Amino acid sequence: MDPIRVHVIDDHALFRRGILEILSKWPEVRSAGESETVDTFLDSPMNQAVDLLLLDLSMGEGLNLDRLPEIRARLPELRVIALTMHNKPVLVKKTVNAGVQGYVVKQSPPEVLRAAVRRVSEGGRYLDPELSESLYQLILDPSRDDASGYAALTPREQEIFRLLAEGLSAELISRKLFISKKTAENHRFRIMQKLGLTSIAELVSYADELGVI
Amino acid sequence: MTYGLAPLHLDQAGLAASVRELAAEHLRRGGPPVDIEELGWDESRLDPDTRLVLYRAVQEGLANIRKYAGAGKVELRLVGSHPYLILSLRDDGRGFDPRSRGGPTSPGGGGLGLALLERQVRSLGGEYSLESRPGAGTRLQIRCEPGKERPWTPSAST
Repeated sequence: MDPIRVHVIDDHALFRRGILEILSKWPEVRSAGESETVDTFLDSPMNQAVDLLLLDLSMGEGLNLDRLPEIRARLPELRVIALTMHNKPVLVKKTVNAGVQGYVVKQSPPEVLRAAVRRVSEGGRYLDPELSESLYQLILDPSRDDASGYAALTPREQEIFRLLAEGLSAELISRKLFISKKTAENHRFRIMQKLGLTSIAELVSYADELGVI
Repeated sequence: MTYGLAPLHLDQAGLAASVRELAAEHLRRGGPPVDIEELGWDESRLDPDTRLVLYRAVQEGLANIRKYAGAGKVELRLVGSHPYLILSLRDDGRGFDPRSRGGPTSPGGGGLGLALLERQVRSLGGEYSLESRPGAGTRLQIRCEPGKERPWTPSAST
């Protein structure tokens, strides 16, 4: 079997070298270089010779995460394992939804990464066992998912939530906040979705319960 | 208003923990139970003046509820609603008729403490409202911008 060609993207040089050092000990893997950023990787012609990408997600809030659709569009055959400090269920969910095949937390021992690399290169998927506890809790009690609920609203959504509760239409909100009506409607949709509400009457009653109107 | 020294722990413990402590103290003094919910804001973005005024508001509001309201339950909410942090303190007590409010010192009208509080909130650029109806409880709401830069004004020093 040909060795799996693995490339590492991480903004910390020491970390990249460390990972490559570990990979070099595994006969089934061959290093296919390292990049500091997604851009460097995408600009390099050698990205055609990569089977599997180890992608760091710790560069700010979801910065590399947002690049995943682009990576997938440009290199549809490439398989991706997210390598990250974060183990919050909400981020795992977001990352998996963005189309990675594996998720490994940086705190894990090298054997975990090795298992992930094998599994994903064979066409499978892999979640770090380290995540079991938090994902288990999430299944038991979905309300703990911080992707939903009031705490998950962005500042803009908080503001629009209040204005909707005060009785403003999407049209009026768009004029007040200098955004398009379409944008205001999209916000309204997202807010209702995050809060699990189905009508403006429910929204008003929830806003009253929160004391914001 | 209860003009003790500023609580020493407020800056360290933060507003959320400190108001929980006030609610516990309120219960020990025989007040009705307080249901607390705080959501959607960040302690680190709260400036110290705003934190202190909101703390005083809860302290004063709970004291009034114990003295006048005869309430069975109290709801305290501290909720981020951009660009504001909104404090809402609601009781199901006997309430009062705001039109008959003789002045800031009339019982049930809030007392001197609330009148001072209102001035402090406004000096921070915030909004203050006290709503009540006889038999329908009382509701105090304060909206302020948590980290707002504001020019110094003489009233801010009161």
